[in-house]
Amino acid sequence: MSEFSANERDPIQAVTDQDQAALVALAGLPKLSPSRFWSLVEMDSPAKVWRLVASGGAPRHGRAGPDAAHAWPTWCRSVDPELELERHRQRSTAVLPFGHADYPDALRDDPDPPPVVFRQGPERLDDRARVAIVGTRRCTNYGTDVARQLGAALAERGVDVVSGLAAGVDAAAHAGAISKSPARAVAVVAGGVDVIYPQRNRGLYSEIATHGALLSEWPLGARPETWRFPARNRVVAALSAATVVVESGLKGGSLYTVDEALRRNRAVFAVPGPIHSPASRGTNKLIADGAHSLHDLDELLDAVAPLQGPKPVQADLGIDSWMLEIVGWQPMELDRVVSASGRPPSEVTLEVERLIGAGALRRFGGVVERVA
Amino acid sequence: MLSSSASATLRGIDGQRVRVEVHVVTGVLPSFNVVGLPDASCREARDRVRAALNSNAFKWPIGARVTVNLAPSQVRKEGSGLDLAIALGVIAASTLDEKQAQRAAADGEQKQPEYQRLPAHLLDGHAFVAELGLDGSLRSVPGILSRVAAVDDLTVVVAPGAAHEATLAGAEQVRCGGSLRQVVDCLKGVDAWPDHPPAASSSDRVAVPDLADVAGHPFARQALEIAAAGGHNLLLVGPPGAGKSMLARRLPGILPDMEQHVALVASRIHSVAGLGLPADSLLRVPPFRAPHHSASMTALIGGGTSKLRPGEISCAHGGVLFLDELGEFAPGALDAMRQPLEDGEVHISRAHASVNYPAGFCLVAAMNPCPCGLLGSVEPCRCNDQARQRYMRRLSGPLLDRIDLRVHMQRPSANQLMSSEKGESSQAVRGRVLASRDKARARGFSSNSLIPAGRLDELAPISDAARSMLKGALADGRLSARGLARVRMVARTIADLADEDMVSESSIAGALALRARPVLFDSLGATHV
Repeated sequence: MSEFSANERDPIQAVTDQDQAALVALAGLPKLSPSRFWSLVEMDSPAKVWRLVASGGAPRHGRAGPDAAHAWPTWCRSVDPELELERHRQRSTAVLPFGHADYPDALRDDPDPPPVVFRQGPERLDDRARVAIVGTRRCTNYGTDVARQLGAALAERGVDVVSGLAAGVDAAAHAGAISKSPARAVAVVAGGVDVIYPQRNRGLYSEIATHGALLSEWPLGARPETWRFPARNRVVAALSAATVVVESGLKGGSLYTVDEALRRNRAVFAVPGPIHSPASRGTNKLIADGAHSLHDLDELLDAVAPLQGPKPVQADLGIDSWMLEIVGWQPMELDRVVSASGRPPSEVTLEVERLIGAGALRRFGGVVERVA
Repeated sequence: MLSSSASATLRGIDGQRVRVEVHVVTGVLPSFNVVGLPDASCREARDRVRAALNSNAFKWPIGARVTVNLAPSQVRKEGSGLDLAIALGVIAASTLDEKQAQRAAADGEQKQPEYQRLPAHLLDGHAFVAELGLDGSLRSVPGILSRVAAVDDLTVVVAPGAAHEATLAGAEQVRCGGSLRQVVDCLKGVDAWPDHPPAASSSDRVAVPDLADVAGHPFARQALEIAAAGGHNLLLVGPPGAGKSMLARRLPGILPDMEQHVALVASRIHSVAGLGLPADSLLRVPPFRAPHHSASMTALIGGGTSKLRPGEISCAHGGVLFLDELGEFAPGALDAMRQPLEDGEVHISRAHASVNYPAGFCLVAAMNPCPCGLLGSVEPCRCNDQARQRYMRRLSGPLLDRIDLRVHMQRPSANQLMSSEKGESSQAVRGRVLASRDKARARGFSSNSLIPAGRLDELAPISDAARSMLKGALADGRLSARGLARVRMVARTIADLADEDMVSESSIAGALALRARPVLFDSLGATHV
């Protein structure tokens, strides 16, 4: 089924500072697709390739039309490779060429690996279970809730949560993972790891760069340009044993991630949603097309990896309360709790606060909802 | 020839005594000047005074140089309240004494008729606070309460319409006259001072709507009662049509009447702002101000470029400031309210003046939970993340932090709307509010919201069960360290309403529930409120 075969690429030799610096500089070339990057580094040592590119001697692209390589010599004059390498070292950004000991294992065997990976954070992405949680940036409340719960549950069980650190579902998944175990958050971003996009994820960026792994195919300072997002999604899919789409419209980057996962024969899960919701149209269609429907967390965990550590037991809180009987498992307005129970509001408030403290109830505006 | 009389101008909400000196000299180039920092409306007095004199058969001193000095000259004088004093000063200064009259007669001039004379010593012991019409009639000016208070040791002469307000200010003796002619005749004793016009009946006092009309909303009603009893700020969150404004407008009805000193300050502010006072007394019912959300920062906070004016927050002093659609107000205007909310007054500085306006009010704000209004109800919200993010950015976190009571209201159900059962009346609720305010006063504070955090352990001791509930909320992040003291203050109020000495678990639970973040913040995972 796969149009790829496991790659037989040779490790990139970048032992000397000079070669490493050239590799960092080459990775930043404008509009350089991963496959073209490969064709460049397979020609010669990175330092020599850099000199070739700078002198305008890069081989023409096979395709017709304008070639990004025309702009390269000019661009090269504005970049000092040594300075770039120094900057990466100062900002403790690891430069991992294909074949490096710390290069992620999951990408080493990938049919379409990035020639070089830039990483911030202590996690080395060795052989462990990883699940991608992806979805639209324009998600609903339901989407963020599910993404956060999934992220938290996976991280709690020792599974890495991979996502793109975009707004919406991505951010919620990472936030969930961080709430349980910050080391389990793995982010692959579509620009340099120091370029925070969107800005409101600033907190997540620094949290992941400190405890987890923040990855990019591009050097520091690279802008998150449109063409980089599909390439980034391929890395998200490649790193993960399974991909979960929480919410997605009929078109969107998450569906690209799904394609990449399918090409690699990885499991794809979609979270079912209301048929009215535009944000669930894509996921519902995925289920119709044969993706696993994610309505049970254990099912997902079985699919991705053998259980890491003891399975958390669903604690029976052993709480007996008149309120839980009234509320049931449907969200209920507090005003209705008062009229249904016939008790004064102060008594209802006391019981609500007790149950929230015990973790049995959740308040959302004027509504309470049973959670255990 | 010289005359001198007293009047008053405004400085912030305080009156400032002004001495009006008039000098008339003949035999030089004729002119009419007002010196001593008059503002534009004050300088315009020249034209009104000249016309008023003419209309009342007083003769303008022909060929004379008239100089009016307003002392103290370093204070800026604003408005038209000095008109009467200037006019009387001109008449008095152009009245010839006997020696001068003889000399004038020797020069062959006509004798000054008696009706045009006003000996300058008759102005002593009087203060004159009124504007003049071109026909010489007396008119009232804003801020009578404050102006008269600045000259209350004198006999104050005002326009008939202002006589009642001047009496409230506590002046020794208040006189009123219909026209310049009448005032001059009364001063000379030719005529008797007219009686004060009867105060208008009190029926024009705006009726505050009653809480009995509100069906349902058990939690919001409770929050309103707590806000009234403890002076805490209140945020009503709910979809359009939930009854947020309806409830907020009923708050003044359950508040205690203002105490004497608060009532006096509030009345002064209203008088200065030209809002008018109740016909028969000082402002007693706490004011309710509801500015529209298009209000500018100056309109809300006070100020102005040429003339300083108290803003809505000062007009709400002692009462309620209601901001409907909080999210629609200019963010800068809301941020500017933070300091007055803390200090109970606002200090306004402009190049030409700086004043303190009192601004001790209870803030009641209302907003939709999200742009579609459905967030936090059983129906799913239709907004996407970005729309909510935009909406949240409009709300100032630090302002929300100063609001201790946050209630989520639901649209009332059909049953509630159609039921004939009435809610508890404002009067019943007000009884409990008054009782709990008495308890706060016994502790030495006019309301519980003023208890300093350091004295909470002494004044609001909490039970063991309540303590462990607070501990739980702090541990799982539902309550911040900053919120802790505020929750304990609110819990003190709830305990007072329930007649508890020690704050029980139930009161703490009530305060915690009211401290819950607006649902919008929960849905976006923001952590700062």
